[in-house]
Amino acid sequence: MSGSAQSPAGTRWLAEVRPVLRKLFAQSGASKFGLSEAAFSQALSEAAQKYLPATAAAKEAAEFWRGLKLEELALARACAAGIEAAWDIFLARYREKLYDAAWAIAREESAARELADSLYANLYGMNERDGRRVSKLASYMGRGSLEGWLRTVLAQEHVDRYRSRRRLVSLDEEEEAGHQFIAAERVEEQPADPRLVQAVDQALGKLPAEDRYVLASYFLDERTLAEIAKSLGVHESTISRRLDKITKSLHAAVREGLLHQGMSRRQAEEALEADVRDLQVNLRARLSAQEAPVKQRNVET
Amino acid sequence: MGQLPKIVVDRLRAAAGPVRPGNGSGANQNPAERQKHAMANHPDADLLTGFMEQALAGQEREQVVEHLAACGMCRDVVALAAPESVAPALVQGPVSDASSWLRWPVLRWGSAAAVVAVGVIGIALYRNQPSRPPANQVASARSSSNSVAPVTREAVPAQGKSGSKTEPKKAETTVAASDRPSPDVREKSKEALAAPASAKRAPERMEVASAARVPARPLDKVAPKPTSPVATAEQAHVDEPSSVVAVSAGSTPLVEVQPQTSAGGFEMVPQPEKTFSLQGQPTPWGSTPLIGGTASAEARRGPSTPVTVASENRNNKAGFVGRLGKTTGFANSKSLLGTSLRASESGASESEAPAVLLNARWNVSLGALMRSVDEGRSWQTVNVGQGGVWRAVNANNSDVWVGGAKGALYHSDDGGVRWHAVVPEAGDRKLTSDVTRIEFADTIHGHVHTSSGEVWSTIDGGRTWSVQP
Repeated sequence: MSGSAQSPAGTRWLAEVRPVLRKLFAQSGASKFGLSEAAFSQALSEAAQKYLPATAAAKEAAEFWRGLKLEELALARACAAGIEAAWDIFLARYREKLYDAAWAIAREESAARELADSLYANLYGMNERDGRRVSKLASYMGRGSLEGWLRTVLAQEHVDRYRSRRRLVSLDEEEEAGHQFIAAERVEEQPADPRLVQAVDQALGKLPAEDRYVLASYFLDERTLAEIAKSLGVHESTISRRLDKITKSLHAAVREGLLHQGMSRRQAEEALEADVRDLQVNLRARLSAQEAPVKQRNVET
Repeated sequence: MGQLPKIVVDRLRAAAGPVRPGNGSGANQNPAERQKHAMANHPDADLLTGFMEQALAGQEREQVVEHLAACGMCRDVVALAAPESVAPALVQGPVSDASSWLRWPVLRWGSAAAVVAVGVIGIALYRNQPSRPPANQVASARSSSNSVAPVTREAVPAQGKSGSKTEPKKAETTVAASDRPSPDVREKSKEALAAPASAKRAPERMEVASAARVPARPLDKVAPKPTSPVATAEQAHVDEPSSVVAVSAGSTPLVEVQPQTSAGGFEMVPQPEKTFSLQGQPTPWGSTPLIGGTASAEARRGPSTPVTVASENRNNKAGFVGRLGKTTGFANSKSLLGTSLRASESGASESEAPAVLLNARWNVSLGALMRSVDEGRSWQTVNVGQGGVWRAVNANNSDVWVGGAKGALYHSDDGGVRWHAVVPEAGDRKLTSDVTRIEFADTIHGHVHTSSGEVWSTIDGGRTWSVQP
């Protein structure tokens, strides 16, 4: 393996961490899955190389490893190595959860089953590379629980499938469905005041990443408070209060930015309170609500 | 919940932008560029899982969050994959299907009308010569004090599920993954998704009128029903307001009709239709239920707070804790108590927790006590006593206990409209440590855990306490 003497996989470094690896191997119970100490140590080394900087000391690596889900990592690696005993344990523990998670994601029986079966095939290693079975479980590094990792992989697969499916919608199918294709109305959207844009960009830029994540989840993705709270591991009331606080501070920051750019306080308030485009959008929404719904698609001219 | 101007939402969306792998460097000054750089490398499944399970820290977590703030696709993944029960356990208030005792029944509900009468007396005394309370009220109070006639407590009609009381619910939120939403629910959810964005979420923060501003509400009368015998057979001590007030075992106790809801303080509405928006695309498999229909803001409360004594060891220590957290002088509470006791036995109509508060949800968040009256769509901070850092809350419908730092323990039997300080004592020991957990299976039997390892227990709704170890 490459690496400097002091870096992960370096000779001296390995010598320093060997006792730690031995201890962690015993703690993980990897032997009950049929996984050897060498294979387990290999898995830990890979994780350290992936997530730790090259200059990480042995002590840092040891601390990093102790934070991993060692038992689940051992099980995943044993399964990736094709050990049948490990697979028996994996299926007993996770088969039901896998299908339940797939259903929770896909919300439709056949799609969920397809999703779960597809992932299962990847986990089992139906693909081969250089004559060796390649299992997706080999990429599990134990940062989170194996169950959570399986859910995340399912979600990623589902998102990818959904996006690719949307791109491949056939025009013929749409025509058969009776959809009419007419040119979209060209709406002249009044550009926003550049001072307002600048003030908003600055205010958003100063927000902590987590605040922007909460804002994006709520206002762009239209997630519920409960969903956002779940992803951050807090209660939804915390998100509620936080959103309130963020929007208020954002208003104040944008207002300050506008004042800085020479607007009067009244102008700044009006700029924030009455975005002309909002008025246009509302008017369009009201007008369009009176028309029969017709599916439109841009036809390139 | 505050709304954002469209320009802010637009700029937020613009800052996300499309993924450009390997572009730029992290040292860009432009926030939009910084975000685009963050989006360049999607976190792997391990990192996303670690993030959702709070296993990441420091810079690593910051990098993931920075990416998520800019990448809608990864936010979608997180929304789909987030574990079901990561959020802190919420207060649960199982509806008791055992005894439906009212704690402090005679005193609490019977004293409400007496407090009104006393208020009238006080005003009259202040303005003119001392005046006597209306003859009929005094007469009824006096007659009640001499008897142990059953006191009828009026209660809010049952809400939600009728009939039998339900089993306690688990504290975990959301529905299990194996739940199958019915097609009609999904259809309704789809309609909700198609609705204009502005209509999708009702105002997240409902303005609940404070108890001090809401008008009184007449109680509904219900017939008392048999309950389990009272452990103690104490008489109401009219002239000794400092002592314990309890209902005589021989009397038909006040009955608190529990609203027939599926859970006491907490029930998360199952949300099988999670919002799942892929860059604004409609979701074919359903969406979140339409969020709206905030509870009526016309929360009303009854007359003034009755004085209640939660522990026989309080010995004049706890006075009446008013709405604003002010503790009235004990002299006042003493007289209030005396009069309250008489009136409480009169069977007069009393106030009760507003219906909207009976099914309120409770939580302690960042040291603040929070209450939701619209099934968790919005939350409001509830002020209790002199304020403080709260750490635990437990609710059985309108019967709420909250505890915090340095032995702070308060109780409300009307959904948080009024609070009474409770100081558990057992012999020469007193609860002074931080309250870390409160468990009440019903309104009578409960435990209070402290940071010093003590477990304070009561079997009479807080009148008396025992402690272990």
